[in-house]
Amino acid sequence: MTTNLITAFTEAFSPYTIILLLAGTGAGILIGAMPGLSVNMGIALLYPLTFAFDGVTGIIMLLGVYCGAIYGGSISAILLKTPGTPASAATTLDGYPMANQMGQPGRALGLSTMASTFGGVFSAVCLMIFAPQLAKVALSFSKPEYFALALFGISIITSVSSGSVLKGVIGGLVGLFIATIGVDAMTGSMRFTFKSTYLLGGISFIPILIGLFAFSQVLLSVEEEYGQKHEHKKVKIHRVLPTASDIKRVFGTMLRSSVIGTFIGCIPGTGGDISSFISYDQAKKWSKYKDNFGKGEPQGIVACEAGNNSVSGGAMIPMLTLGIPGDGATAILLGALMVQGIAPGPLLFQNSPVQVYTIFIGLLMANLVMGLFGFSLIRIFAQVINVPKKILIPIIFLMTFVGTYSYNHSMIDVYVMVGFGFLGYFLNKMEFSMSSVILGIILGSTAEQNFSGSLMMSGGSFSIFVTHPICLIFLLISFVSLLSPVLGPAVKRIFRREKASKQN
Amino acid sequence: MVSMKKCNYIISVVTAVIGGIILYLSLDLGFGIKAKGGTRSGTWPGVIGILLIVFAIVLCITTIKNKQKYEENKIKLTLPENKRVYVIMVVFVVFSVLLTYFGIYIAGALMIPTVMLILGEKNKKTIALVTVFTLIAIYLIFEVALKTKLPKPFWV
Repeated sequence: MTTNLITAFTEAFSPYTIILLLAGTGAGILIGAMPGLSVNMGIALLYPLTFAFDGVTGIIMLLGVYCGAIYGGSISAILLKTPGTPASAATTLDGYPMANQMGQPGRALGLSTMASTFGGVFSAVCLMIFAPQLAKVALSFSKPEYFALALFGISIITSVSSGSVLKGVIGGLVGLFIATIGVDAMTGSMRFTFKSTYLLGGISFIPILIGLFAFSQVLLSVEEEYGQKHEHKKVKIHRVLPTASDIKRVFGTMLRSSVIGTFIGCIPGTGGDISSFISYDQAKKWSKYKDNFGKGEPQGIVACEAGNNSVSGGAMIPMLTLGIPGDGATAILLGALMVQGIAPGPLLFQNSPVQVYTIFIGLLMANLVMGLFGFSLIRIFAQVINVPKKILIPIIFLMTFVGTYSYNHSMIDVYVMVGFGFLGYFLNKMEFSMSSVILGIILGSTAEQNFSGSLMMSGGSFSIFVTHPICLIFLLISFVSLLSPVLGPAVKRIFRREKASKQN
Repeated sequence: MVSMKKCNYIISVVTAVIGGIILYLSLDLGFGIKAKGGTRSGTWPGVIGILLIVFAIVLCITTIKNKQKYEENKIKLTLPENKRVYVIMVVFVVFSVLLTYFGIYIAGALMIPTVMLILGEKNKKTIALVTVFTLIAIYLIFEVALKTKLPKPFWV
C-alpha cells in the first residue's frame, strides 16, 4: 500500500499534472462564474482535451474543472444576483445583500471561497476513508448485483430529471437504445448498423455528450441573450481573507453543511443545488442569527457554498466504488474514465490502486488549488462577469467543434454532435433531461451484459434475481423509482381520501 | 407559442413509433432467452422498444388527464429569439460543410464574424480581434501544445 501511495503522489505531483490541474481549476472557475454556462457543460467542453494525456492525468484536470465550476458560480451569484451554476442559486440569498446592500463584496467572496474549499476538502477526505470500505463490500457482488446496480443507476433518472419525470424515463430509454447500436458484445451480431461502417462501432458517446450538454446549451444562451443589454459592472473588492470573528461565527455551519453535502452527494440523482438549499435551511434553523438570514448573514453564504462544494467528493463515492454516478457531472467523469480504459467499480481498487489514490489526491489538490485561486485571484475572476455573451458564444461554439473532432478525427462525429445539439435544444424546451440520456448510454452495456450473464449463470431462470438479496433490494428500489411517476399521484390520492374520510 | 399539451401528444406519437420500429427490428435479430441461458441479440433492445411504447401511452394518458395544466404551459418556439436560434442553426449546417472542405481556420474565420453579427455585435474591430485571437489560441493550444490534428483544407 505504501508503494502504491508513493507512486500515486509522484503521479499527482508531477509538473505536467500540476499544470493541467491549475489550468483546469482556473477554467472551471471562469466557466462557473459565467451565467448560462453550467458545470456539466464545462466538463463536457474540456473533456476532449483529456485524450491527449495518458491515464488519470486528464481526469485530474476534469476534477479541477468540476470543483472550480461549482465554486465559480458563487461569483456571479454574489456580484450579480444571478447564479453562475444552479448549485449557487441559494448563495444569492445572502451573498448579494452582503455585496450590494452592505457594500462588502470582498467579504462575501472571501467567505464563499473559504466555505467552498473547506467543503471540498472535507468531502475529499470522506471519499478517501469510505470509498475503500464500500469497495470491499462490493467485491462480493456478482452479475445479478451488477445488473441490479446498473438498473438502480438508470432508475435514478427519475430523480435527475429536472423537468418531467416521465420524459426523463423516456430519455433514459433512448440512451439505453443508443448503447445497443453496433456489434453485440455477447453474440457478435450487428445491431441497427444499417450496413454503415461508422455504426459498427456504435455511436460514440463523446459527440452526443458535447452536443447535448454544450452545443444545445449555447443555443439556449443565444435565445436568452436576445434583447438583453450588456451592462459593465464595476466591482471594488477590498478585503478577501475572512476575519477571525467571521471564522468563529461560521465554523459550525461550515462543518454541518459539509456533512450534509457529502451525504447528499452519495445519493445518486441529487446534486449541489439540492444540497445547498438543504444546508441553507438547516443553517437557518440552528442559527442564533435567524433574523439576519436574507440580509447578508455570513452563515447563509457559508452554508450554501460548503454544502454545494462538498457534493463533489460524496458523488464520487458511488461512482468509483459501484460505477454509479452521483450526479450529472460524475456521469460525465464516469464516461471519461471508461474511455481511458479505467473501469470504475470495486475491482478498480484491487486492480488499479495507484490510479485510485491518484484520483483521491487529485480531488484534494483541486479543492486546495480552488481555494488558492479564490483568495489570490478573485479580483481577476470577478471581471469575467463583464465579458459580453456576443464574444463568448461564438468561441464556445468553435470549441464544441474542435473538441468533438479532436477525439477521433472524424467529421461524422462532428455531424452527430451538431445533430444532437439541435435535438438537445428542442428537448430542453420540452422538459427532457440531458443527464438521463447520457446515463442510459453509459450504463446500458453494463446492464445488458450483466442481465444476460446472470441468465447464463442460472441456466435461463429469472429466480437468480430474487434469490440474491442485495440484487432484490436494488431491483425493488429501481422499480419503485421508475414507477413513481404513476404510483406517486395514486398514493397521494389514497392518502387524501383517507384523511378526508377520517375528518368526516 | 406552442402549448406543452400539443408537444406532449407529438412526443407520445414519435416515441411510440420509435419504440415500434425498435421492437420490429429487434424481432429480426432474435427475441427471447437461449436454451442454456443468456439472451438473444434482439431481447434487450426489444424490451426497450416495448417500454418506449408503454411510457409513450402513459405520457399521452397523463397529458389527457392534466389537459388544462399542460394547455397553460407554453413553450417559446416561434418568437424572434427562437428565429435567431434557427438562423444560427443554418449557419452551423453551412459551417459543418465548410469545415469538411476548407478546414477549421478558413471556416472559423467565416463563422465567428457571422455569429457575432447575428448576435448584434456592430464593432468591426471587436469582431476582427475576437476572430484572430480565437483562431490563434485554438492553433496554439490544440496543434502546438496538445499536438492534435484539426481539419485542414482539402488541398493540404
